Amino acid sequence: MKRDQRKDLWARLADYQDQWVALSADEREIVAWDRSFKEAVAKARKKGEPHPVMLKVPLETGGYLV
Amino acid sequence: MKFRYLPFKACPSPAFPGRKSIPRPVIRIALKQGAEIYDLWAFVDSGADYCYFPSEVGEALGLEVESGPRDEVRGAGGQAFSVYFHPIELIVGGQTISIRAGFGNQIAFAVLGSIGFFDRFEVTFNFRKSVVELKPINALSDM
Repeated sequence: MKRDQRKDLWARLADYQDQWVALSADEREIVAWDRSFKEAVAKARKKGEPHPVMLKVPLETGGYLV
Repeated sequence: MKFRYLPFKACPSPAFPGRKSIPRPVIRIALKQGAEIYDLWAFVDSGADYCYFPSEVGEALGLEVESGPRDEVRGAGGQAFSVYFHPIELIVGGQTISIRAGFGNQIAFAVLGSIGFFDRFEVTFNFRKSVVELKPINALSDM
């Protein structure tokens, strides 16, 4: 993914906090989302994306320390 | 291999009222178990001892998660929870390596830690340039 695509993506991902997001294989589009990993994958495949790229979007209430 | 940091939207707080985004070192990987393979974005975390993934990812890969050897892991806040280790194939930048990773219900994100990742790659963080660079190194033992 190129820099501009990632810069743009963060604003779109904010709508899916604490959910699994399925991106298209080229990482350009948000194809599906769900609180369940399996469901998000299934929804993406149903929409014609056989190999989605999965990301759990953090719940942003403050900083993270791991 | 170079990966750009991924900015995440951040909530302003009294401590950081102007905060809008937090860049984090997230890279694309794949996990493979038998015929099952999933592409994921994972956090590169030099503070993690091992590689950890949510249980539901392991289940999707066909693992019986709680059948694996149990370990206890503690977060920075000191709370302990259980993870179960399984052999798994980790694919990074087209390179496949065999690791043992922990899977747990209380693991929220895919995390790449010391054993299984940092012992397999020379990792350079450049926050200013917003880049994580990986160079494969000879694998050490899985301990």
